[in-house]
Amino acid sequence: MVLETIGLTKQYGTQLAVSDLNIHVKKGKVYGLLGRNGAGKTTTIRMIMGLMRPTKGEVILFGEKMTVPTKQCFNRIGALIETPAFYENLTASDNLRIIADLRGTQSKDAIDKSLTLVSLENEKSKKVKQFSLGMKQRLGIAMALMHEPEFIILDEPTNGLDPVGIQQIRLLIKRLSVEKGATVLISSHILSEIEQMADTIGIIGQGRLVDELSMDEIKRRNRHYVKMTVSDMSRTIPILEKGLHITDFEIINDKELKIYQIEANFEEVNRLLNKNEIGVSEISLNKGNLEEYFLKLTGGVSVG
Amino acid sequence: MANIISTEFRKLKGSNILWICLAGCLILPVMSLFVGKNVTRPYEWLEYCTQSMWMSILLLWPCIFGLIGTYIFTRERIENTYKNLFIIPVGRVSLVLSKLFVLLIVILGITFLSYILNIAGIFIGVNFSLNKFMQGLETYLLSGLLTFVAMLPVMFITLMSKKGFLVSVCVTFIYAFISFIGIWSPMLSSVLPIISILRICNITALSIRYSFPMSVNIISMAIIGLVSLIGIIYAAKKQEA
Repeated sequence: MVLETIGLTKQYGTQLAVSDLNIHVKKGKVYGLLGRNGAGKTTTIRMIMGLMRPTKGEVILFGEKMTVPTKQCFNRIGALIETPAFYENLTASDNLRIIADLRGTQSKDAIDKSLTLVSLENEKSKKVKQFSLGMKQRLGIAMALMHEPEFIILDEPTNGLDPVGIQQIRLLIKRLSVEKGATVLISSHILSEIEQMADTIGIIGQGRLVDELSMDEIKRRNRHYVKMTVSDMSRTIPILEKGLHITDFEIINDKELKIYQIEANFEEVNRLLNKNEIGVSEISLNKGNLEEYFLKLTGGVSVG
Repeated sequence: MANIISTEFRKLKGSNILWICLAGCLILPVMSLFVGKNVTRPYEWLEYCTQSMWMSILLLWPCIFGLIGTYIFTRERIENTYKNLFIIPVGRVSLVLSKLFVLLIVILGITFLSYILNIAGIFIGVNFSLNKFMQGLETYLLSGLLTFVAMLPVMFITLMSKKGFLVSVCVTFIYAFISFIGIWSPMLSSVLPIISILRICNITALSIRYSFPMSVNIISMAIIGLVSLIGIIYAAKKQEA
Protein backbone atom coordinates (compact mmCIF):
# COMPACT_ATOMS: atom_id res chain seq x y z
CA MET A 1 0.00 0.00 0.00
CA VAL A 2 1.46 3.37 -1.00
CA LEU A 3 -1.13 5.50 0.74
CA GLU A 4 -3.66 4.82 3.41
CA THR A 5 -5.73 7.29 5.37
CA ILE A 6 -7.27 6.26 8.64
CA GLY A 7 -10.24 8.23 9.88
CA LEU A 8 -8.95 11.38 8.22
CA THR A 9 -11.07 14.32 9.31
CA LYS A 10 -10.93 18.06 8.78
CA GLN A 11 -13.32 20.35 10.56
CA TYR A 12 -13.69 24.12 10.11
CA GLY A 13 -15.69 25.39 13.04
CA THR A 14 -18.85 23.34 12.94
CA GLN A 15 -18.46 22.35 9.30
CA LEU A 16 -16.94 19.00 8.43
CA ALA A 17 -14.95 19.31 5.21
CA VAL A 18 -13.68 15.73 5.38
CA SER A 19 -15.09 13.15 7.71
CA ASP A 20 -13.57 9.86 8.80
CA LEU A 21 -12.02 9.16 5.41
CA ASN A 22 -10.36 5.80 4.83
CA ILE A 23 -8.81 5.44 1.41
CA HIS A 24 -6.37 2.81 0.20
CA VAL A 25 -4.05 3.39 -2.74
CA LYS A 26 -2.23 0.27 -3.87
CA LYS A 27 1.23 0.26 -5.40
CA GLY A 28 1.31 0.55 -9.18
CA LYS A 29 -2.39 1.33 -9.47
CA VAL A 30 -4.27 4.40 -10.60
CA TYR A 31 -6.69 5.52 -7.88
CA GLY A 32 -9.44 7.91 -8.89
CA LEU A 33 -10.89 10.15 -6.20
CA LEU A 34 -14.24 11.09 -7.62
CA GLY A 35 -16.61 13.62 -6.17
CA ARG A 36 -18.61 16.71 -6.93
CA ASN A 37 -17.13 20.18 -6.50
CA GLY A 38 -16.74 20.88 -2.80
CA ALA A 39 -16.92 17.21 -1.85
CA GLY A 40 -13.58 17.36 0.01
CA LYS A 41 -11.15 16.03 -2.61
CA THR A 42 -8.68 18.91 -2.47
CA THR A 43 -8.85 19.13 1.33
CA THR A 44 -8.01 15.43 1.46
CA ILE A 45 -5.03 15.87 -0.87
CA ARG A 46 -3.83 18.92 1.06
CA MET A 47 -3.87 16.88 4.26
CA ILE A 48 -2.02 14.02 2.58
CA MET A 49 0.68 16.45 1.41
CA GLY A 50 1.04 18.10 4.80
CA LEU A 51 -0.30 21.47 3.63
CA MET A 52 -3.04 21.27 6.20
CA ARG A 53 -3.22 19.57 9.57
CA PRO A 54 -6.02 17.04 9.94
CA THR A 55 -8.39 17.63 12.82
CA LYS A 56 -8.30 13.90 13.40
CA GLY A 57 -6.97 10.78 11.73
CA GLU A 58 -3.76 9.57 10.18
CA VAL A 59 -1.99 9.52 6.85
CA ILE A 60 0.18 6.48 6.17
CA LEU A 61 2.60 7.03 3.29
CA PHE A 62 4.77 4.16 2.06
CA GLY A 63 3.85 2.23 5.17
CA GLU A 64 4.89 4.93 7.61
CA LYS A 65 2.70 7.27 9.58
CA MET A 66 3.28 10.83 8.47
CA THR A 67 3.73 13.19 11.37
CA VAL A 68 6.07 15.82 9.94
CA PRO A 69 6.66 15.97 6.16
CA THR A 70 10.16 14.77 5.37
CA LYS A 71 12.23 15.28 2.24
CA GLN A 72 12.98 11.57 2.12
CA CYS A 73 9.28 10.75 1.87
CA PHE A 74 8.16 13.68 -0.28
CA ASN A 75 10.97 13.12 -2.80
CA ARG A 76 9.08 9.95 -3.72
CA ILE A 77 5.93 11.96 -4.42
CA GLY A 78 5.10 14.40 -7.19
CA ALA A 79 1.99 16.46 -6.73
CA LEU A 80 -0.11 19.03 -8.51
CA ILE A 81 -2.58 20.58 -6.12
CA GLU A 82 -5.49 22.75 -7.26
CA THR A 83 -4.69 25.33 -9.91
CA PRO A 84 -1.02 25.36 -10.84
CA ALA A 85 0.93 28.32 -9.46
CA PHE A 86 4.20 29.77 -10.69
CA TYR A 87 6.42 32.82 -10.51
CA GLU A 88 4.86 34.67 -13.40
CA ASN A 89 7.88 36.86 -14.18
CA LEU A 90 10.04 33.79 -14.74
CA THR A 91 10.22 31.43 -17.69
CA ALA A 92 8.86 27.88 -17.60
CA SER A 93 12.39 26.59 -17.39
CA ASP A 94 13.33 28.96 -14.52
CA ASN A 95 10.26 27.89 -12.56
CA LEU A 96 11.21 24.25 -12.90
CA ARG A 97 14.84 25.07 -12.06
CA ILE A 98 13.73 26.58 -8.73
CA ILE A 99 11.88 23.41 -7.76
CA ALA A 100 14.73 21.23 -9.06
CA ASP A 101 17.29 23.16 -7.00
CA LEU A 102 15.16 22.96 -3.87
CA ARG A 103 14.72 19.22 -4.28
CA GLY A 104 18.43 18.97 -4.86
CA THR A 105 18.33 15.62 -6.54
CA GLN A 106 17.71 16.37 -10.18
CA SER A 107 19.55 15.03 -13.17
CA LYS A 108 20.81 17.72 -15.55
CA ASP A 109 18.26 17.05 -18.25
CA ALA A 110 15.29 16.57 -15.89
CA ILE A 111 13.79 19.93 -16.81
CA ASP A 112 13.99 19.37 -20.56
CA LYS A 113 12.68 15.82 -20.23
CA SER A 114 9.69 16.85 -18.16
CA LEU A 115 8.84 19.73 -20.51
CA THR A 116 9.01 17.34 -23.46
CA LEU A 117 6.75 14.94 -21.60
CA VAL A 118 3.97 17.55 -21.55
CA SER A 119 4.76 18.97 -25.01
CA LEU A 120 6.11 22.27 -23.73
CA GLU A 121 9.67 21.83 -24.96
CA ASN A 122 9.33 24.77 -27.35
CA GLU A 123 7.95 27.07 -24.68
CA LYS A 124 10.66 26.69 -22.07
CA SER A 125 12.05 30.21 -22.56
CA LYS A 126 8.64 31.86 -22.49
CA LYS A 127 7.57 33.71 -19.34
CA VAL A 128 4.78 31.98 -17.48
CA LYS A 129 2.65 35.14 -17.49
CA GLN A 130 2.27 34.56 -21.25
CA PHE A 131 0.97 31.02 -20.72
CA SER A 132 -2.66 29.98 -21.17
CA LEU A 133 -4.41 28.07 -18.38
CA GLY A 134 -3.92 24.83 -20.30
CA MET A 135 -0.20 25.48 -20.68
CA LYS A 136 0.09 26.25 -16.98
CA GLN A 137 -1.69 23.00 -16.21
CA ARG A 138 0.83 21.11 -18.34
CA LEU A 139 3.69 22.94 -16.66
CA GLY A 140 2.25 21.98 -13.28
CA ILE A 141 2.20 18.36 -14.35
CA ALA A 142 5.80 18.68 -15.59
CA MET A 143 6.72 20.08 -12.17
CA ALA A 144 5.09 17.13 -10.46
CA LEU A 145 6.81 14.58 -12.69
CA MET A 146 10.23 16.19 -13.00
CA HIS A 147 11.92 14.14 -10.29
CA GLU A 148 10.40 10.87 -11.55
CA PRO A 149 8.37 10.17 -8.42
CA GLU A 150 6.99 6.73 -7.70
CA PHE A 151 3.74 8.21 -6.37
CA ILE A 152 1.98 10.92 -8.35
CA ILE A 153 -0.89 12.98 -6.93
CA LEU A 154 -2.82 15.05 -9.44
CA ASP A 155 -5.70 17.21 -8.31
CA GLU A 156 -8.07 17.83 -11.24
CA PRO A 157 -5.18 17.68 -13.74
CA THR A 158 -7.22 18.20 -16.88
CA ASN A 159 -8.78 21.51 -15.79
CA GLY A 160 -8.40 24.06 -18.55
CA LEU A 161 -7.06 21.58 -21.08
CA ASP A 162 -8.52 21.21 -24.56
CA PRO A 163 -9.72 17.75 -25.68
CA VAL A 164 -6.35 16.95 -27.26
CA GLY A 165 -4.59 17.98 -24.06
CA ILE A 166 -6.96 15.87 -21.97
CA GLN A 167 -6.26 12.87 -24.15
CA GLN A 168 -2.49 13.45 -23.88
CA ILE A 169 -2.60 13.69 -20.10
CA ARG A 170 -4.80 10.61 -19.89
CA LEU A 171 -2.36 8.61 -22.01
CA LEU A 172 0.57 9.98 -20.02
CA ILE A 173 -0.94 8.86 -16.73
CA LYS A 174 -1.69 5.40 -18.10
CA ARG A 175 1.83 5.16 -19.50
CA LEU A 176 3.44 6.21 -16.21
CA SER A 177 1.42 3.58 -14.43
CA VAL A 178 1.97 0.75 -16.91
CA GLU A 179 5.54 1.41 -18.09
CA LYS A 180 7.13 2.97 -15.03
CA GLY A 181 5.03 1.25 -12.40
CA ALA A 182 4.10 4.59 -10.85
CA THR A 183 1.22 4.79 -8.43
CA VAL A 184 -1.22 7.56 -9.24
CA LEU A 185 -3.88 9.30 -7.17
CA ILE A 186 -5.99 11.47 -9.39
CA SER A 187 -8.95 13.53 -8.30
CA SER A 188 -11.73 14.70 -10.55
CA HIS A 189 -15.39 15.59 -10.65
CA ILE A 190 -15.73 14.15 -14.13
CA LEU A 191 -16.76 10.52 -14.11
CA SER A 192 -15.77 9.75 -17.70
CA GLU A 193 -12.27 11.02 -17.03
CA ILE A 194 -11.73 8.83 -13.99
CA GLU A 195 -13.43 5.86 -15.63
CA GLN A 196 -10.86 5.80 -18.42
CA MET A 197 -7.81 5.95 -16.20
CA ALA A 198 -8.47 4.47 -12.79
CA ASP A 199 -8.08 0.93 -11.54
CA THR A 200 -9.81 1.78 -8.30
CA ILE A 201 -12.29 4.52 -7.56
CA GLY A 202 -13.00 6.21 -4.27
CA ILE A 203 -16.26 8.10 -4.37
CA ILE A 204 -16.39 11.04 -2.02
CA GLY A 205 -19.53 12.97 -1.18
CA GLN A 206 -19.94 15.69 1.44
CA GLY A 207 -16.54 14.83 2.88
CA ARG A 208 -17.31 11.15 3.36
CA LEU A 209 -16.04 8.17 1.41
CA VAL A 210 -19.25 6.78 -0.05
CA ASP A 211 -17.65 3.78 -1.69
CA GLU A 212 -14.26 2.46 -2.67
CA LEU A 213 -14.21 -0.23 -5.29
CA SER A 214 -12.27 -1.56 -8.24
CA MET A 215 -13.18 -0.60 -11.76
CA ASP A 216 -13.93 -4.28 -12.47
CA GLU A 217 -16.40 -4.33 -9.59
CA ILE A 218 -18.05 -1.15 -10.83
CA LYS A 219 -18.38 -2.59 -14.30
CA ARG A 220 -19.77 -5.82 -12.88
CA ARG A 221 -22.34 -3.89 -10.90
CA ASN A 222 -23.34 -1.94 -13.95
CA ARG A 223 -23.60 -4.70 -16.54
CA HIS A 224 -26.62 -4.91 -18.77
CA TYR A 225 -29.02 -7.64 -17.69
CA VAL A 226 -32.47 -9.03 -18.15
CA LYS A 227 -34.53 -9.13 -15.02
CA MET A 228 -36.98 -12.00 -14.74
CA THR A 229 -39.69 -12.66 -12.15
CA VAL A 230 -40.69 -16.32 -11.98
CA SER A 231 -43.11 -18.34 -9.86
CA ASP A 232 -40.67 -21.13 -8.91
CA MET A 233 -36.99 -20.29 -8.69
CA SER A 234 -35.77 -23.79 -7.72
CA ARG A 235 -37.17 -25.33 -10.89
CA THR A 236 -36.18 -22.40 -13.08
CA ILE A 237 -32.42 -22.67 -12.46
CA PRO A 238 -31.91 -26.20 -13.85
CA ILE A 239 -33.93 -25.32 -16.92
CA LEU A 240 -31.78 -22.22 -17.55
CA GLU A 241 -28.53 -24.08 -17.03
CA LYS A 242 -29.24 -27.40 -18.69
CA GLY A 243 -32.00 -26.62 -21.13
CA LEU A 244 -30.84 -23.20 -22.30
CA HIS A 245 -27.10 -23.14 -21.36
CA ILE A 246 -27.51 -19.89 -19.50
CA THR A 247 -24.94 -19.81 -16.71
CA ASP A 248 -24.20 -16.10 -16.15
CA PHE A 249 -26.99 -15.03 -13.84
CA GLU A 250 -27.58 -13.80 -10.31
CA ILE A 251 -30.45 -14.78 -8.03
CA ILE A 252 -31.89 -11.74 -6.26
CA ASN A 253 -34.54 -13.55 -4.16
CA ASP A 254 -36.84 -16.57 -4.50
CA LYS A 255 -38.79 -14.87 -7.30
CA GLU A 256 -36.37 -12.58 -9.09
CA LEU A 257 -33.12 -13.10 -10.95
CA LYS A 258 -30.77 -11.17 -13.20
CA ILE A 259 -29.51 -12.81 -16.39
CA TYR A 260 -26.36 -11.20 -17.77
CA GLN A 261 -26.33 -13.23 -20.99
CA ILE A 262 -28.58 -10.71 -22.70
CA GLU A 263 -27.87 -12.23 -26.11
CA ALA A 264 -29.87 -15.32 -25.07
CA ASN A 265 -33.19 -16.02 -26.84
CA PHE A 266 -35.71 -14.89 -24.22
CA GLU A 267 -38.67 -15.94 -26.34
CA GLU A 268 -37.32 -19.45 -26.05
CA VAL A 269 -36.65 -18.96 -22.29
CA ASN A 270 -40.26 -17.87 -21.76
CA ARG A 271 -41.64 -20.71 -23.89
CA LEU A 272 -39.61 -23.38 -22.09
CA LEU A 273 -40.49 -22.11 -18.61
CA ASN A 274 -44.19 -21.97 -19.54
CA LYS A 275 -43.96 -25.48 -20.93
CA ASN A 276 -42.68 -26.57 -17.48
CA GLU A 277 -45.59 -24.76 -15.84
CA ILE A 278 -43.41 -22.00 -14.38
CA GLY A 279 -45.13 -18.66 -14.43
CA VAL A 280 -43.11 -15.68 -15.83
CA SER A 281 -44.60 -12.39 -14.74
CA GLU A 282 -41.76 -10.07 -15.86
CA ILE A 283 -38.97 -10.02 -18.40
CA SER A 284 -37.28 -6.64 -18.72
CA LEU A 285 -34.00 -5.39 -20.12
CA ASN A 286 -31.96 -3.18 -17.77
CA LYS A 287 -29.11 -1.13 -19.14
CA GLY A 288 -26.62 -0.33 -16.40
CA ASN A 289 -25.80 3.35 -16.37
CA LEU A 290 -22.58 4.28 -14.64
CA GLU A 291 -23.53 7.93 -14.44
CA GLU A 292 -26.78 7.13 -12.67
CA TYR A 293 -24.94 4.77 -10.38
CA PHE A 294 -22.59 7.53 -9.24
CA LEU A 295 -25.41 10.01 -8.92
CA LYS A 296 -27.13 7.57 -6.63
CA LEU A 297 -23.98 7.14 -4.54
CA THR A 298 -23.10 10.79 -4.28
CA GLY A 299 -26.72 11.66 -3.66
CA GLY A 300 -26.47 14.57 -6.03
CA VAL A 301 -28.06 15.94 -9.11
CA SER A 302 -24.91 15.63 -11.13
CA VAL A 303 -21.36 14.46 -10.70
CA GLY A 304 -20.22 17.21 -13.04
CA MET B 1 19.50 26.60 3.30
CA ALA B 2 22.01 27.64 0.58
CA ASN B 3 19.61 26.20 -2.03
CA ILE B 4 16.71 28.22 -0.68
CA ILE B 5 18.79 31.42 -0.67
CA SER B 6 19.97 30.91 -4.24
CA THR B 7 16.41 30.26 -5.43
CA GLU B 8 15.24 33.40 -3.61
CA PHE B 9 17.71 35.39 -5.70
CA ARG B 10 16.59 33.56 -8.83
CA LYS B 11 12.98 34.58 -8.15
CA LEU B 12 13.94 38.25 -8.48
CA LYS B 13 15.06 37.74 -12.08
CA GLY B 14 13.05 39.74 -14.58
CA SER B 15 10.88 41.42 -11.93
CA ASN B 16 10.11 45.14 -11.81
CA ILE B 17 11.52 45.28 -8.31
CA LEU B 18 15.00 45.36 -9.88
CA TRP B 19 14.21 48.86 -11.21
CA ILE B 20 13.41 49.91 -7.65
CA CYS B 21 16.77 48.48 -6.58
CA LEU B 22 18.43 50.54 -9.31
CA ALA B 23 16.61 53.63 -8.08
CA GLY B 24 17.82 52.78 -4.57
CA CYS B 25 21.40 52.75 -5.84
CA LEU B 26 21.16 56.02 -7.74
CA ILE B 27 19.12 58.30 -5.50
CA LEU B 28 21.76 59.13 -2.92
CA PRO B 29 24.74 59.71 -5.27
CA VAL B 30 22.56 61.79 -7.58
CA MET B 31 21.38 63.91 -4.64
CA SER B 32 24.98 64.32 -3.44
CA LEU B 33 26.05 65.42 -6.90
CA PHE B 34 23.12 67.79 -7.21
CA VAL B 35 23.80 69.44 -3.83
CA GLY B 36 27.58 69.39 -4.25
CA LYS B 37 27.87 70.92 -7.71
CA ASN B 38 27.31 74.46 -6.38
CA VAL B 39 29.76 74.21 -3.49
CA THR B 40 32.77 76.44 -4.10
CA ARG B 41 34.73 75.97 -0.85
CA PRO B 42 37.10 72.95 -0.34
CA TYR B 43 34.83 69.96 -0.32
CA GLU B 44 35.79 66.89 1.75
CA TRP B 45 34.85 63.37 0.67
CA LEU B 46 33.03 62.41 3.87
CA GLU B 47 30.97 65.57 3.92
CA TYR B 48 30.08 65.07 0.27
CA CYS B 49 28.96 61.47 0.78
CA THR B 50 26.95 61.97 3.94
CA GLN B 51 25.36 65.38 3.31
CA SER B 52 22.14 63.88 1.96
CA MET B 53 22.15 60.66 3.96
CA TRP B 54 19.63 61.91 6.52
CA MET B 55 16.99 62.17 3.82
CA SER B 56 17.76 58.71 2.51
CA ILE B 57 17.74 57.13 5.95
CA LEU B 58 14.57 58.87 7.11
CA LEU B 59 12.47 58.59 3.98
CA LEU B 60 13.88 57.08 0.82
CA TRP B 61 15.61 53.94 2.04
CA PRO B 62 12.77 52.81 4.34
CA CYS B 63 10.37 53.16 1.41
CA ILE B 64 12.65 51.48 -1.13
CA PHE B 65 13.86 48.73 1.17
CA GLY B 66 10.32 48.28 2.47
CA LEU B 67 9.06 47.81 -1.10
CA ILE B 68 11.76 45.28 -1.86
CA GLY B 69 11.21 43.45 1.44
CA THR B 70 7.44 43.26 1.14
CA TYR B 71 7.82 42.08 -2.45
CA ILE B 72 10.13 39.28 -1.31
CA PHE B 73 7.89 38.38 1.62
CA THR B 74 4.50 38.54 -0.14
CA ARG B 75 5.66 36.79 -3.29
CA GLU B 76 4.52 33.27 -2.37
CA ARG B 77 1.19 34.46 -1.03
CA ILE B 78 0.39 36.58 -4.09
CA GLU B 79 1.44 33.93 -6.60
CA ASN B 80 0.07 31.08 -4.47
CA THR B 81 3.37 29.22 -4.69
CA TYR B 82 3.71 28.26 -1.03
CA LYS B 83 2.16 24.89 -1.86
CA ASN B 84 4.88 24.17 -4.45
CA LEU B 85 7.53 24.74 -1.81
CA PHE B 86 5.88 23.08 1.18
CA ILE B 87 5.35 19.81 -0.69
CA ILE B 88 9.09 19.49 -1.38
CA PRO B 89 9.16 20.17 1.65
CA VAL B 90 10.90 23.49 2.22
CA GLY B 91 10.82 24.40 5.91
CA ARG B 92 8.69 27.42 6.73
CA VAL B 93 11.29 28.92 9.06
CA SER B 94 14.16 28.22 6.64
CA LEU B 95 12.17 29.96 3.93
CA VAL B 96 11.63 33.21 5.87
CA LEU B 97 15.18 33.24 7.21
CA SER B 98 16.40 32.88 3.63
CA LYS B 99 14.18 35.76 2.59
CA LEU B 100 15.59 37.88 5.41
CA PHE B 101 19.11 37.00 4.34
CA VAL B 102 18.34 37.94 0.73
CA LEU B 103 16.82 41.23 1.90
CA LEU B 104 19.94 41.96 3.96
CA ILE B 105 22.22 41.22 1.01
CA VAL B 106 20.09 43.35 -1.32
CA ILE B 107 20.12 46.26 1.16
CA LEU B 108 23.87 46.02 1.70
CA GLY B 109 24.37 45.69 -2.05
CA ILE B 110 22.35 48.82 -2.71
CA THR B 111 24.07 50.85 0.00
CA PHE B 112 27.47 49.66 -1.22
CA LEU B 113 26.74 50.51 -4.87
CA SER B 114 25.18 53.76 -3.80
CA TYR B 115 28.40 54.65 -2.00
CA ILE B 116 30.63 53.58 -4.88
CA LEU B 117 28.65 55.77 -7.29
CA ASN B 118 29.55 58.78 -5.14
CA ILE B 119 32.95 58.59 -6.81
CA ALA B 120 31.35 60.75 -9.48
CA GLY B 121 31.91 63.56 -6.95
CA ILE B 122 35.60 63.59 -7.90
CA PHE B 123 34.60 65.24 -11.16
CA ILE B 124 33.18 68.25 -9.30
CA GLY B 125 36.34 68.65 -7.25
CA VAL B 126 35.67 66.67 -4.08
CA ASN B 127 38.89 65.92 -2.14
CA PHE B 128 39.27 62.16 -2.14
CA SER B 129 41.48 60.05 0.16
CA LEU B 130 41.49 56.30 0.72
CA ASN B 131 41.29 56.72 4.48
CA LYS B 132 38.17 58.88 4.26
CA PHE B 133 36.76 56.57 1.63
CA MET B 134 36.96 53.62 4.02
CA GLN B 135 35.35 55.65 6.80
CA GLY B 136 32.48 56.61 4.52
CA LEU B 137 32.05 53.01 3.40
CA GLU B 138 31.77 51.95 7.01
CA THR B 139 29.07 54.57 7.64
CA TYR B 140 27.09 53.49 4.58
CA LEU B 141 27.25 49.78 5.34
CA LEU B 142 26.40 50.34 9.00
CA SER B 143 23.41 52.47 8.05
CA GLY B 144 22.35 49.76 5.56
CA LEU B 145 22.62 47.08 8.23
CA LEU B 146 20.68 49.17 10.75
CA THR B 147 18.00 50.01 8.16
CA PHE B 148 17.60 46.27 7.65
CA VAL B 149 17.02 45.86 11.40
CA ALA B 150 14.66 48.84 11.39
CA MET B 151 12.60 47.22 8.60
CA LEU B 152 12.06 43.97 10.51
CA PRO B 153 8.77 45.17 12.13
CA VAL B 154 7.38 45.82 8.63
CA MET B 155 8.35 42.32 7.53
CA PHE B 156 6.71 40.90 10.64
CA ILE B 157 3.45 42.77 9.96
CA THR B 158 3.60 41.71 6.30
CA LEU B 159 3.94 38.06 7.26
CA MET B 160 1.30 38.22 9.98
CA SER B 161 -1.31 40.14 8.03
CA LYS B 162 -1.36 37.61 5.17
CA LYS B 163 -2.49 40.42 2.89
CA GLY B 164 -1.27 41.38 -0.52
CA PHE B 165 1.58 43.59 -1.64
CA LEU B 166 -0.34 46.88 -1.52
CA VAL B 167 -1.34 46.59 2.13
CA SER B 168 2.26 45.87 3.07
CA VAL B 169 3.45 48.82 1.01
CA CYS B 170 0.98 51.06 2.88
CA VAL B 171 2.36 49.74 6.19
CA THR B 172 5.87 50.58 4.96
CA PHE B 173 4.94 54.14 4.04
CA ILE B 174 3.08 54.74 7.30
CA TYR B 175 6.07 53.40 9.23
CA ALA B 176 8.44 55.69 7.31
CA PHE B 177 6.10 58.65 7.82
CA ILE B 178 5.80 58.09 11.57
CA SER B 179 9.59 57.90 11.78
CA PHE B 180 9.91 61.12 9.83
CA ILE B 181 7.56 63.15 12.00
CA GLY B 182 9.14 61.51 15.05
CA ILE B 183 12.25 63.68 14.64
CA TRP B 184 10.31 66.57 16.23
CA SER B 185 9.79 64.56 19.40
CA PRO B 186 12.90 64.04 21.60
CA MET B 187 11.18 61.05 23.21
CA LEU B 188 10.33 59.30 19.93
CA SER B 189 13.76 60.17 18.52
CA SER B 190 15.28 58.09 21.30
CA VAL B 191 13.26 54.99 20.58
CA LEU B 192 12.18 54.87 16.94
CA PRO B 193 14.55 52.58 15.00
CA ILE B 194 14.84 54.66 11.83
CA ILE B 195 15.76 57.85 13.72
CA SER B 196 18.15 55.83 15.86
CA ILE B 197 20.15 55.03 12.70
CA LEU B 198 21.03 58.72 12.31
CA ARG B 199 22.31 58.90 15.86
CA ILE B 200 24.21 55.59 15.83
CA CYS B 201 25.84 56.41 12.47
CA ASN B 202 26.63 59.94 13.68
CA ILE B 203 24.82 61.71 10.87
CA THR B 204 24.42 65.19 12.24
CA ALA B 205 23.04 67.15 9.30
CA LEU B 206 19.75 67.50 11.20
CA SER B 207 19.76 68.90 14.70
CA ILE B 208 17.60 66.30 16.39
CA ARG B 209 17.11 66.46 20.15
CA TYR B 210 17.02 63.25 22.14
CA SER B 211 15.52 62.63 25.59
CA PHE B 212 17.91 59.84 26.45
CA PRO B 213 21.54 58.88 25.79
CA MET B 214 22.48 56.93 22.66
CA SER B 215 22.52 53.64 24.56
CA VAL B 216 18.72 53.89 24.72
CA ASN B 217 18.58 54.14 20.93
CA ILE B 218 20.80 51.07 20.63
CA ILE B 219 18.82 49.07 23.18
CA SER B 220 15.48 50.12 21.65
CA MET B 221 16.65 49.10 18.20
CA ALA B 222 17.99 45.77 19.46
CA ILE B 223 14.75 44.98 21.30
CA ILE B 224 12.50 45.97 18.37
CA GLY B 225 14.70 43.98 15.97
CA LEU B 226 14.78 40.92 18.21
CA VAL B 227 11.05 40.96 18.96
CA SER B 228 10.31 41.36 15.26
CA LEU B 229 12.63 38.49 14.38
CA ILE B 230 10.94 36.23 16.94
CA GLY B 231 7.58 37.36 15.57
CA ILE B 232 8.68 36.59 12.01
CA ILE B 233 9.75 33.08 13.01
CA TYR B 234 6.46 32.56 14.86
CA ALA B 235 4.42 33.82 11.89
CA ALA B 236 6.45 31.61 9.54
CA LYS B 237 5.57 28.53 11.56
CA LYS B 238 1.90 29.40 11.25
CA GLN B 239 2.03 29.83 7.48
CA GLU B 240 -0.43 27.67 5.55
CA ALA B 241 -0.24 27.16 1.83
